Amino acid sequence: MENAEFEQLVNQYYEALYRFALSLTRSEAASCDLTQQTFYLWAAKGHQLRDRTKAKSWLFTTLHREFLGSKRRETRFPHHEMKEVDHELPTVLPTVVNDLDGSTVMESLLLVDELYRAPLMLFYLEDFSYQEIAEQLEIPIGTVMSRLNRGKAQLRQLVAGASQSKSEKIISLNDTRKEAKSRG
Amino acid sequence: MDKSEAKIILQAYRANGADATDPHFTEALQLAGIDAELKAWFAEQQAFDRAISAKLRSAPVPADLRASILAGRKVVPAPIWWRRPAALIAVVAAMLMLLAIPFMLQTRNTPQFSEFKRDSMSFLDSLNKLDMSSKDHETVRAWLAAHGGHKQFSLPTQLGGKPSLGCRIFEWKGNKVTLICFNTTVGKKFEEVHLLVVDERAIRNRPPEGKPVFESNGEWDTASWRDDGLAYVLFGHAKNHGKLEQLF
Repeated sequence: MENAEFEQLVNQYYEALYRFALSLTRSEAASCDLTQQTFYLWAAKGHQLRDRTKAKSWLFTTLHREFLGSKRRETRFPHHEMKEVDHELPTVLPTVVNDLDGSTVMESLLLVDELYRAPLMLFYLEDFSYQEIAEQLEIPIGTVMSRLNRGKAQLRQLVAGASQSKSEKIISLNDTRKEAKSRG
Repeated sequence: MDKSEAKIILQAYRANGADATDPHFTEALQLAGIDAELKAWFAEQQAFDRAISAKLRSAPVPADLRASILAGRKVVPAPIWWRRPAALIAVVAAMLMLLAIPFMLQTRNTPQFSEFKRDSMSFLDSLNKLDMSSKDHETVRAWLAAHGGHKQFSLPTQLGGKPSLGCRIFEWKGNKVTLICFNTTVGKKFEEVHLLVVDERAIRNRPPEGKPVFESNGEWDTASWRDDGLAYVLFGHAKNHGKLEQLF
């Protein structure tokens, strides 16, 4: 493979791959390893992919497989039937999300159940449709829908919690002024 | 579709509009267009998704990751060329081409069966002598065996019962050809046929295996066939038209 092609692929996808890896491993170091491993596999085996337009799918699928392989799971993820999420979801205004920084939102995502994190991350990277997510994760489309539904519900609760914590940590300037004056 | 189903489906609708043409969402989107509560819910979902997506897409990535990947690439051995399917196929194809060239050249230089028939007719037109004379087939075979002719020739059923006149061996375009003449006289009128035998590899567009093909070619009628690696043409005078078929 030409170095130029390899570098171009790295430039295009390494960030998204890393974020996807982080959603799986919840560890920065493990995510770096997983991302690098994926590109090394591409360097060694990518030439076998005849349709070069599928390189992105190949990279994400490979990363996910590598993750699953590294975990050496003995049990597979159960498939969930599509079902309405019946519990009450907290209302999280977009402005609340906007007030949070990227790391906080990522931390919230990392607290979502492992089962839902991968489809959620791929969904929010916006590079893949639900059908492509199903292909990446090698699960049925209905399962993707179900996991997105449940995963989003969890994420809403976690983001709401993070927002609440943040607001509790905020020290009012007026209160500070009053306190300073009282100490005065 | 009710609102609950529509909500589950619309949860998979990307906020950047990338799924706008996906027919899977059409019905749910239509429902959201006419149901005020669903419409408000969907708008809030999309806003939430947009905000989350923007945050996650901006989540920091270790600064040295890109450099590490590119540096690591330099110690990953490049795929060995012969393990690349495309390269391997190309090499095999080239080798096959090289092997095929002599065969192709040979094939291109191999004369057509029609040429063999045409030249054989010319040869018969001017035929004035045989190399040996015998009415006994086995004697003819023995002579051919001793002189490099096609001793293993096979004969059509009825021709096998006719006495031979003799044989001759000659060369045609570098190939040995055996001529065996037969006396096919019935009654008082003398009739003869001439069998020409050549290796089938010496010609292209060969006649079919086993079953003879009968043709009329001016002064000659012919029956052509192949059998066991040899190509045969039996010539009979056109004035005795229809007699060749009776020899099979």
